[in-house]
Amino acid sequence: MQFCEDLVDAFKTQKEDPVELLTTIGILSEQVNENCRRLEKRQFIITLLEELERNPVVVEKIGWDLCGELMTFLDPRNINVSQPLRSSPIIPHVMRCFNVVALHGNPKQVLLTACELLSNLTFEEEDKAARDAEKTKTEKDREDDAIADPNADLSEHVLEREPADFFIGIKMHILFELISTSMKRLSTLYPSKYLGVAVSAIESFITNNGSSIDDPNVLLRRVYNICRSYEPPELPEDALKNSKLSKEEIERLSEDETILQNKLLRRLCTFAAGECTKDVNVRAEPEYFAAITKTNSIENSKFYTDLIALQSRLFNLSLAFDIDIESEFTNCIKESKRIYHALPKESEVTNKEAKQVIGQAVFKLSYTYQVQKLAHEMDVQLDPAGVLALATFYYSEYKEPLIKELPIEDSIFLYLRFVTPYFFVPKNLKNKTVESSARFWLWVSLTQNSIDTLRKQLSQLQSFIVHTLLKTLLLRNCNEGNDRLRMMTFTLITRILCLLPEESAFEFIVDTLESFPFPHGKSYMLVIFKDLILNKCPFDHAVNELTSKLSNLTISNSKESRSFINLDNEKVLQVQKLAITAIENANATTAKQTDINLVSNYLGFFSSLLEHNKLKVKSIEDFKSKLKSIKLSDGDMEKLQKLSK
Amino acid sequence: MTEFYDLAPLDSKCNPFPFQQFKGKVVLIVNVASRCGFTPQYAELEALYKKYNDKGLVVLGFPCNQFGGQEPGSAEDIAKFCSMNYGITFPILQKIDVNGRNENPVYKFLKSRKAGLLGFRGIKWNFEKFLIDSEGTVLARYPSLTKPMSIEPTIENLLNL
Repeated sequence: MQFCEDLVDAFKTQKEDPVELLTTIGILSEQVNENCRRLEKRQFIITLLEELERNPVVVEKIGWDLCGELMTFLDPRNINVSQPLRSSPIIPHVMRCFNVVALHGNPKQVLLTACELLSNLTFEEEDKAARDAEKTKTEKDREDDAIADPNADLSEHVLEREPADFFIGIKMHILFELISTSMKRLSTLYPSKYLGVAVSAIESFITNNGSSIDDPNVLLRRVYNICRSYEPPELPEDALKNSKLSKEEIERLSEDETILQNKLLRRLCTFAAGECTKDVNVRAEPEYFAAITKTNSIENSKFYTDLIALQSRLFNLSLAFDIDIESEFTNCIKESKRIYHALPKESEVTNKEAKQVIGQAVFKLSYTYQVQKLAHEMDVQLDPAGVLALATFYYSEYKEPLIKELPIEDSIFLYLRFVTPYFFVPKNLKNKTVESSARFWLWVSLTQNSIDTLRKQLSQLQSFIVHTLLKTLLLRNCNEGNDRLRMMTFTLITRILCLLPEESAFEFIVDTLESFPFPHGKSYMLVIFKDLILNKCPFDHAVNELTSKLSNLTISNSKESRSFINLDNEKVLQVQKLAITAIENANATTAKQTDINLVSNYLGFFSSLLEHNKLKVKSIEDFKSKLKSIKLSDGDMEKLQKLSK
Repeated sequence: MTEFYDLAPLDSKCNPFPFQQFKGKVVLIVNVASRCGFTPQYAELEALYKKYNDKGLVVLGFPCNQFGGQEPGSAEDIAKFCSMNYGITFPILQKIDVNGRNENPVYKFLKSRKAGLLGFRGIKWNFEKFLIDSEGTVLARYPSLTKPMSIEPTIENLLNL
């Protein structure tokens, strides 16, 4: 093939002029990529590989710039993603070229190039490229998709893979290999400079892609391996001879460099713990829930078995990196509390409007704090989300919480600090690992402290803080797709409401029914409300196995006959008014099915209360008459008839 | 402050195994695991032990399951594995944690005396090694990658051979 001959010629005649040689390789690669069939492209890459292997000195000069050219062959038009890797006529040869670059390229330049490519690699871009390629694929491209590498063992095995996921996976693999091999080959007085660039690139890649990659375990494993296998580069042989620095200065520099590398690795380890699996909930939460409710934990799928094993490795690596998780977590809690420290006392906020304004401020405080912190952060610090995640992994490791009897106010501030910023950030910054870890600690507080302690702590906390917590839990739970997790969080909300002073709990419920943005969230709240009215002591059916404290729980006799929320005429009137508003909303032209469902749920709510003699039918006459304006289902009609009787 | 000879971990049958008995001896301590990529190092550890035990070298293995869960078995399983696969004759003690809240005092002591790569005190993986001289001083710490036989010259030196 002429392109191959031209390439061989270029290596012969232009090897003394790397810029010219690189330009020639670039032009030829572009032409081959545009005009050739797949087996011709394969031949071109094999020729390039042979030339690179024959000319390590040239690779030393141009290797770093070849990375971008080689990446252009990893294009959806050149690769059939359902084909096994080894059968691909392109991939194995491109990877061998990268291998030569990793082994013979200038390690500093290759490392910097690989870091730049990794920082800019995004799932969105790969997805767009794959979609565009699918549209522009020619008949010849499709014919070529059936071709396997002539030297490969032919496999009929067809793999179902998402193109974007495949390409980001293969590119990630290549770039991580380039980074780790280059770092091993470095010889520098300033290794932290290069490690810093690598850590920054890896963090960018994780931030950009952590929630998009199909199997985040692959990402977690990659980052774990790079942390674990990192070894400080050797000092240049001629460091002492050629450097202007004295032996003592070099020793001091070396000590400083050691400290910096140490910090960077600790930082990356925590960042990986908190961010790599941000689209996955931690297993500690359902495991702990199963333990305290004496129910069976869900058997882990292979994905979760692998994930837990990887998280365990990362947890143990953090110990190897001397991260004192308990002390760091305690600091993280203290910092979380400091964010909310300046909020006014309950007594200083006298009216409902002021409470609402402050409630809004509580929502935004953590976000504002984190933006400011980022702007002022000069030192390499542990990632707080990672510290929270590691503190939670501790439960999977030792089957008991890292901190027992964590005060409920601590876990509330922790939750608010980590979860409320999600309302102000783009989707890819949301993090299920962190969110479920924060919920885990709410569970720990609720089950490891006595009821008296919890009630006392909650009554001392400003109601607008607890209400913001409950609202955040409810808002986040409205989008939860997993039934079991959704149920767990409703149980969590219910427990907290049970522990609040009755008026505060009622105030939150009314506020939710009045102004919560989603009608289905209001419906959920009605179910919880009904439970609080009908149940005497909901703690009995969820006894904490881990401590005997809850099992000994008794609420004083005088309260035994009382419900958690006791309806009086005034409260009934308030709720009826809200129910009528729901009917009006359901009658509006803009009404959705969820608005109609809410009316149905109000009907169910009142029916249940009537059944249990918690309500007199005459107290909801207005609601009943207003209901006639709406078209009800057969089931709801039956309920209405019961109400009328 | 704890000294090396004050330490008394438990052996595989949970009996005290005081280090006082090693006064005047050179000791090589290794955290071992049966399912690790470095497990073949058992062969070299045993070779060192056989060659230098009568000259004053002691090799001690502490099984540990903290790294990739690669030592999940019981004391019997571990003993059987060591004997059947590598003919180990040096003492394999009770399974312990080398890092974290349950770290064994032996490792707390060793780590406090010698840091690893980049100044980290924590043990990074299976088959890290600590070399203690005949006066109980922790002389060196070697990462998993260091093959036991490569320590032979240092051991010979310490044994005055």
